[in-house]
Amino acid sequence: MNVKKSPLLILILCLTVLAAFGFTRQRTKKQIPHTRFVTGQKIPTVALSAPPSVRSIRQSSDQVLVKFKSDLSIQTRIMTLSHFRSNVIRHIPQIDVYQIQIPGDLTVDEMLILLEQNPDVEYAEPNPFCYTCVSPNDTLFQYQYALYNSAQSIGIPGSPTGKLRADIKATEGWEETKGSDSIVVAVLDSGLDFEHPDMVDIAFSRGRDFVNDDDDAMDDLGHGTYISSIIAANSNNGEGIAGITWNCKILPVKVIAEDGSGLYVWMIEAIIWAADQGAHVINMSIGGDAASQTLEDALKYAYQKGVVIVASAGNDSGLVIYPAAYDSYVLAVAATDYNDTRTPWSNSGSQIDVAAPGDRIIGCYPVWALPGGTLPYVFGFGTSASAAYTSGLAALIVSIKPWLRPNEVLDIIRFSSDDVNGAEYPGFDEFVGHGRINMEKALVPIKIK
Amino acid sequence: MTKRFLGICTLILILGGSTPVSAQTAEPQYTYRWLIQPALQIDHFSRSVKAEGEDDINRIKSTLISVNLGFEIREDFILGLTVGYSFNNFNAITFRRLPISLELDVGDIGAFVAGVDLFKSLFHLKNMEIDLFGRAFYMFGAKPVWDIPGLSVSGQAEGRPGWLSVEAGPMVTYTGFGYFLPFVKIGYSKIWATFKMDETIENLTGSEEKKLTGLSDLLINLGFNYDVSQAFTIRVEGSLMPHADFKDLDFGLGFKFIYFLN
Repeated sequence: MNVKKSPLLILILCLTVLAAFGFTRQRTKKQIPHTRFVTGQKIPTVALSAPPSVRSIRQSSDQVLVKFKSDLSIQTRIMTLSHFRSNVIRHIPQIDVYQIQIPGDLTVDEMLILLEQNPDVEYAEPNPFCYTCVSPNDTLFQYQYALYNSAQSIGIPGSPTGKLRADIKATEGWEETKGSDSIVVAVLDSGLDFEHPDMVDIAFSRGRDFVNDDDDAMDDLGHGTYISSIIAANSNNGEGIAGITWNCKILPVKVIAEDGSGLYVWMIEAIIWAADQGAHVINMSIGGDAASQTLEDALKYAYQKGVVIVASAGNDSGLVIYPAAYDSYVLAVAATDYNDTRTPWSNSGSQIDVAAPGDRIIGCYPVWALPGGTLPYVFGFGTSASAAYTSGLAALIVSIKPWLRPNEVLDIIRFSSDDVNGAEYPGFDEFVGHGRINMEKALVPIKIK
Repeated sequence: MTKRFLGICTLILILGGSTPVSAQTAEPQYTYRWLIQPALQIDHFSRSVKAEGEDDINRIKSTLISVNLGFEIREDFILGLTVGYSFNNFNAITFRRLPISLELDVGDIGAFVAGVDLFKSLFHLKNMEIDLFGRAFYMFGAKPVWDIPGLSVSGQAEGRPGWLSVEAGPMVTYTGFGYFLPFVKIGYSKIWATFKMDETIENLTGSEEKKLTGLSDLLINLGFNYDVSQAFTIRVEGSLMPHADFKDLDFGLGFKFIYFLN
């Protein structure tokens, strides 16, 4: 019996090994994009107080983004989509990408497999969610570690004592310029509280709301107001805070919904819309964990139209999120604190260009979102604030040197930075990039001796 | 600016050539032996300049040490050529069109100078001698490179400065004191300058050229010649150059030690 069973056993074993091998290969093939993504980041092994993010990627369960080959006629595209029983939600003509509603009996993964097998499709990908990079720190939020525990240093506002001049040298920079009212910073976020008393007349227009598909980017979350105030709150008006630019305008573009997240496609359309509106700078204190060809195409579109794009690196001690990770088009900003030290939660990676203060940053907040009798300001932390400071600096540079190309503006910000962690990591590093931004050196003529 | 200097040189040479021709016509028998006057010159000036389309007023300060060879090619007509070295201060000139703006705080920049001058005696009136003078100086050849401090990467700036100064007009000398000959010049004086700055910070490059024009056109110069001996004369002179709006003054000083080879 043993003799008879041996060939069968061997056959079963062989099949098992082959199946396992095949399964492994298949898994490996499917994970290629993710593997490439991870190895490309050079995961830091030191100076991180928390492990890289293990957050799963959230994405729309009934939508995908599709790009057909450019030589395909419109009729053929419609027929193809009909064949897949899919409806077009919207078309982004500048980069020729379709947002598709998939049939109810198919999952996103199944739909993507079907689309990728079609030779007429250049690429198809999910429509992930992006999210905000700051956790507003109102009077109670700092104690709500159960809601968001990033191992941040928690203190009563005002209690930390920073190092003298560990700042971005704004007062010196303002000697050169306070910005031009013809320069527009598009803030792709949760919108703007147009009624805030310290943000009077800073809006270029009522903006665009891609969440609700209308032309009024009123903030129903608070994050966008907070970020916009860091960039352009009314300054020298005897109340509240000062914006980094005193005169530049904010173009609010709502891509983050009331729950603090938004679809990639809103962000993608917003980038293109802002570029088409003539924005000089796009601030994205938002991002997602998923790479997206469509997102990269949109960034490229804006960049090629001369827009300076700044994005936050993320706040979970992990890898640089998207769009900040698109190094060719975006300035990725990490966070430092009041001692010019990188915050432990600031994301790191080779894409980090510069850092800016992001810990315990005060900003405006919608009146409706705070308890009665409270001043409409909050302390927040995150690379969102860092990106906002950097976008403000970009706007100031463009104000006085409108002839510069985006890459030149980005280089000015990079090269004028202070290497604040130079003692430990001389030169460029993955934690603060070139260093903490310095408005004085970026704006005021440097004396050569 | 080089073309302008060459133009001025040509003009002076034409003047130098044409004047004796008329003298020759008037006095065909006249022959004259060239006299050579080697001299050592030390000059200093401080001139206000302004760039096209800008409000900032800067000063160019320069000290020149040069040798001058004067050729008395006709009686009372001296054509001089000057070569030397200069120390030029352009501090506070600011380059805001470079990607990262720069301000000069480099002190003196050494550079060569070349010049031409002419002197023509017109006539005498009792103890007064009425003359014409003209002078042009051209500073050139400097190409200094500086490191740009404070950046997160290394960066360099390369400068190419130059200036051209011109002055001309009538001159009145009092000859009644014998060896001591005070004079006054009132005329036109102008300075033009350029300063090209190239910036290189890794891939970030830029270039800006400043075209600077002096704010003063009028020259009031007082000085004297002191004949130490038959062959050696010392000249000392000071210049005031009021701005066109008369709100400020530029100034200059000059010393010249002239030896007459006969």
